[in-house]
Amino acid sequence: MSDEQVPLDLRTLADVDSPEVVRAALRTFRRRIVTRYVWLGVGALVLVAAVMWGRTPSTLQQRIDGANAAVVPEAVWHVPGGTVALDRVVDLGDTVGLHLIVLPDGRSQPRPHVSVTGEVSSMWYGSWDEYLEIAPSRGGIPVLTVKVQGHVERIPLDQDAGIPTQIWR
Amino acid sequence: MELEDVFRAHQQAVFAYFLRVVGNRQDAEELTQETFVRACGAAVRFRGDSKVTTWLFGIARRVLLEAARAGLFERRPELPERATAPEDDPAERVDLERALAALGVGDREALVMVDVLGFEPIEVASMVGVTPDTFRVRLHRARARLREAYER
Repeated sequence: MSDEQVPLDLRTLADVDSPEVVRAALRTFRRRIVTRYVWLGVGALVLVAAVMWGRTPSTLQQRIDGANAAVVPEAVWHVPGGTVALDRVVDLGDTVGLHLIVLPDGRSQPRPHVSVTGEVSSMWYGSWDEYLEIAPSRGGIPVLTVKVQGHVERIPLDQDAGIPTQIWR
Repeated sequence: MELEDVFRAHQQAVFAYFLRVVGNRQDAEELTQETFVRACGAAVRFRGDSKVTTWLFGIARRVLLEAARAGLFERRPELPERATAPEDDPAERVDLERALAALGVGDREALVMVDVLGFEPIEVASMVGVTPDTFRVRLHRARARLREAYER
């Protein structure tokens, strides 16, 4: 081995003035663990919230279809120009939900327009299904109004329509 | 022996490794701390198959590689600042620091591991992931370049 190949003695370079970092490292580690668990918790909460939100009915159609039917009257009314059927009446708490199926007599006929007294909101679902939310007035029987081609038909939603009146109380 | 005591026993060596390879005291301090933070998490998986120093410097190397990938050596000037010694540096030590600082990172690391910290070349070869012969050649070249820079 020539002189040039004898390694220089570098051992003195190991002698450095080292700062105290161990305690800070342990603190940082604990903080990271806590942070990780906090984020995991937040993630789990977000996931649960998302699942719950996905299951919570948000539209009127979902609320009415998802509720236990109070009455299934299967009442059908033929009016000039169309047919209206009351499929379900459900208790939505402070309000009552109605599912109506509204059919024109012919494909080219306009669809009958329906409304109910005390109506709070309504939505069409597909071509023929209409969902209505009504706030029944105390003691009053809601009236279904069907308008088609200038003709207006008013139908009380009472016992004769197959709906027990106590549902409106 | 408590984990904190184990870390404390190796603190100076790990800091010296970073300081001599990186050449910047602040970076070396941060990297040393990060090494011990990771070692806390990895300690539960350490089964004692290797020496504590080998395990700890394996973590330190990974920390250094990540820092290098994040641009550590691009951010810093190539010639590092003077390392602080416990007492006044003799002239030879200053010359050695200067010569070491003039080398590339790979050379510096090989020399620091073996000639500064006293690892066996075969241990470092295993840490670096090369054969012992490849590492010996690398070390030989690094030593030659150091001598060249030292005598310049």
